[in-house]
Amino acid sequence: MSHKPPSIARWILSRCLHPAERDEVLGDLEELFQERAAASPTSARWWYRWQVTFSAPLFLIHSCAHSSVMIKNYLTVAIRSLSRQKVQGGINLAGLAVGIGLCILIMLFVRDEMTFDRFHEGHEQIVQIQDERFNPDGSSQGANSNMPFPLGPTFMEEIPGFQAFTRTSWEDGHYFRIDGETIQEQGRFVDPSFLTMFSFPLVAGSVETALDGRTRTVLSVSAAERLFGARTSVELNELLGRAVEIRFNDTWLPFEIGGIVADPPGNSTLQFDFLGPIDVWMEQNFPDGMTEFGWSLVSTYMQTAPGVDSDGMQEALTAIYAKYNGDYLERLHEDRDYPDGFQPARYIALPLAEVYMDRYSDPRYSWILSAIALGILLIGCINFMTLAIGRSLSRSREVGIRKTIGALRSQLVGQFWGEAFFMTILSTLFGIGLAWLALPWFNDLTDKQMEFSLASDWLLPLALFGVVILTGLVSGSYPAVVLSSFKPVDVLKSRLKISGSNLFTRGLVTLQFALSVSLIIATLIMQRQLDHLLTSDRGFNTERLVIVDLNGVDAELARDRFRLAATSDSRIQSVSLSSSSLGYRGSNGFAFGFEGDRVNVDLLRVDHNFMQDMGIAVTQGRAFDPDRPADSTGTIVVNQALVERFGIEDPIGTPMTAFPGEDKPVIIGVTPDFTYQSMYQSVGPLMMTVSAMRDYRHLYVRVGGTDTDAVEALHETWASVTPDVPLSFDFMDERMARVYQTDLRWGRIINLASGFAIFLALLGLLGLTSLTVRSRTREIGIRKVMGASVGRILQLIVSDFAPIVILGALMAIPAGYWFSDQWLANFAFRTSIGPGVYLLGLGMVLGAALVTICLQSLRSALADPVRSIRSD
Amino acid sequence: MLSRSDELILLAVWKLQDEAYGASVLEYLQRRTHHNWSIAGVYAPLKRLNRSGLLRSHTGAPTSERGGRRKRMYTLTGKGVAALQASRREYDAMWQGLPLPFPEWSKEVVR
Repeated sequence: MSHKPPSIARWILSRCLHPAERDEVLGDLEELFQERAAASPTSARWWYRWQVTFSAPLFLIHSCAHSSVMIKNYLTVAIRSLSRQKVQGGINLAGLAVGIGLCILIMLFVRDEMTFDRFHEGHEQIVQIQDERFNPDGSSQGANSNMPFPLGPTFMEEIPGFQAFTRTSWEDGHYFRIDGETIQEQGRFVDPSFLTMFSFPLVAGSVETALDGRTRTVLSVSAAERLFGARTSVELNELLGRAVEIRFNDTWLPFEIGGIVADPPGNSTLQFDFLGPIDVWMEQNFPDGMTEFGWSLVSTYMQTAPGVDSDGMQEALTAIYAKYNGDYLERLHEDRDYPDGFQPARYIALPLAEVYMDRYSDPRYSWILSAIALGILLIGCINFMTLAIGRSLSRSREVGIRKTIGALRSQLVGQFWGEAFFMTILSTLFGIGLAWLALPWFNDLTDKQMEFSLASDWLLPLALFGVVILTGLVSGSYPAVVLSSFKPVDVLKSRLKISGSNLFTRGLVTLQFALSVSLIIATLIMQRQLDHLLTSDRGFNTERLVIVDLNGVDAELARDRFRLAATSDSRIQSVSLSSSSLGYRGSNGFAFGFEGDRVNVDLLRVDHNFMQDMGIAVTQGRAFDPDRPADSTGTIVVNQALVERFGIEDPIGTPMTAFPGEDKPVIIGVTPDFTYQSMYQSVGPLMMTVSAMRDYRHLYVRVGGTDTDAVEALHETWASVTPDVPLSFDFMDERMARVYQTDLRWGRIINLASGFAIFLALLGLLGLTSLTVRSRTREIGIRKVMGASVGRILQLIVSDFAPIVILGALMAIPAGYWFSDQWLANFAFRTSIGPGVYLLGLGMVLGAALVTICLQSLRSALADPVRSIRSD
Repeated sequence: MLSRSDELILLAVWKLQDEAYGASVLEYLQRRTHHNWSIAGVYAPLKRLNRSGLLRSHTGAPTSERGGRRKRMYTLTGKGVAALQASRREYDAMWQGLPLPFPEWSKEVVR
């Protein structure tokens, strides 16, 4: 017996064997090993390992088959104890299912956020070019993705390492005319390389020929259906070569359909329903920008050659910025105090996969949602634990008997954890069902097109598996560890005192309430801020105001026709024009000076009537006057912020300096700081001028009568302006609200989550109350016999719970404050948050908790004491 | 009907008489068939045949060369012998009157 078999192999094998046959198998193997070891110890050890490798799996299966008898027994007990407390068990199951369902939805959301633009083949090689600007102290001002048109070809020529480029215009509505009928489609104008660089699969036509940069356009499948009613692949193929016309400003240009592309997936930052040639778009809209670097117009994507990393190109990108933007850099140096030799702006290359988070979303959203999902799951787990502890009273007998008969502690631990896993798996199944049912509605809420399929990739099943493991482990931990430790003698002699609400359970409930109250406070604060955004006074009158997009239609003609209509039609009251839209989008700024001081000022070009029609007040001087045509040259109206910025003492009649024209317009009036941009931005210096007709892009119509009447009047009048271009309009308040839709959506999601959280927490409290009440039934009976009133008994139970709920709620206040402070920092216009919100949140939760406790304890307080005392 | 490995194991137990247990069966099979047998590949059929009544088993005495572990001894039952004989008859029937497989070099094969 001088040789020892490999110990790890032997340990593995013994783990896989059922205890009943462990001895014989190990013995047999040892005997054979010793025989072989006598000849050659090394080969004997390898032989042993080989034996274990091939035998262990088989033995494992055998031993599992054996223990299935016990598992069946555990399952029976689990189902029985569940069905004995149907209501509470059901509530818990439902609570956990809702929590898991919500987790699934949020996992889908996070996955969608994280996988944006990664479906493009070779996306690692594609970068978006941006220009980044710096402050004099070296901090970044942020980056802009609109690039000069010649940038792509220049990079190709001058920077080694790039192998292709493509440019795209911003997504915008354009009119298509087919056989005399006009429809608006959203789309982009691109280089032909767009289809070869990105992986948007073609349904008809080929990638190489679909776009030729001059005459061909590509439609998405859904656009093809809208425009031609084509659905099948035969019909789509027949569309190739069909003639369509696209409208640029006021001319229709002919194109032919070169291909049909599948609709871009929801997780693509590049969305479009058609693709057209970018050269034509440039010629029609910005002929000067085709060769000059001074215009920022198109998104530019570059593809690096295989093996080239764009990180290494930064130096070349910085250098090329200086080469082509020398004048601009010089001017920046003049305007602000940059250190000598510091380049205040440069090009950067952002990997395609990061574009979404950089420009469209924020990873914080994903983190916040994940945290909320975990919080709700935790609340569900706590409910489960509370239930298990509640049952421990009756289960302790079972534990005692099992132990007496000979169950090991490890077996009991296994049993209780097994039960927890059984419940978790059951509620996960329900949760999957719930998530599947709720997905269309959740898509609506988040404005995404997510699909739910467990088979499509490994991530979701894996994550679900993780959730099951985590939930099972957490929710089964208390019963597994504590219940299994009972001593049989104590239990069977009923010597053990298990209170329904010990310190541990109380701690759990406190945690639950802390979580749900912080969510409620966050909800209330978001609600208040959103209300503030939508209803606060903007300084101009948005009531019954309609904004009409001119889309290149002759502004003067449109205004005159609407004015004419206003004289005879009470549904149209007044009409005015402006260059940039009011109240929801940033205006274009440009340099403006006074006595050597130079500042970027926002510019709003308006017509003579604009200020009166919008109800913009004037604090000094006067507004533009329709009766003074001279207002259209050399006069401006400015806002209070501008006056303060330049420190002008007596603004009226003061000449200013406008760059680059070197005009000297004179201030004729000062307005208060009305919010001409969205509420995210603070009000900066603004000037308004009366402009030439071609600058106007929007027509504002104040309407009368009902909304339906007004819309009808708009359509009638618009038809007299142009038959070619369909009317595109919105009520002003609706359009302004659209700016805040991301935050409104977030408000709704948080609202929903906190609703769930508080609901689950109340369920938990309900369970705990019923437990306490049950364990004090006899005490309550005796108290009643001694003359206690129902109110007194309610008070007794409520006072038992009040401290833990209040403590939890108080813990939530700092969390709620921190969250709201973070979120509100996004807004220039913040609503004031007083203690009222916190009190309201506290009050709501405490009230709900009180009602829950009272409902549950009222029954036992009203019960006949004779019965409760006799029941022993 | 018996599978081939069942049949070989039964035959080994028969041959080993009172000395049939996991290790000796494996050893015997290894010697006769020139295949590598895994311990589970012997054990699983032994247990199954035991359950279905072709084998009978009892616990043997622990020995020092096994690290002091007990062994489980197997013996063939009447039912087991009958099953082996039936199996042999089926084989014989199958081998009866086979035609020559490849006439051109039949002499060596048949002999």
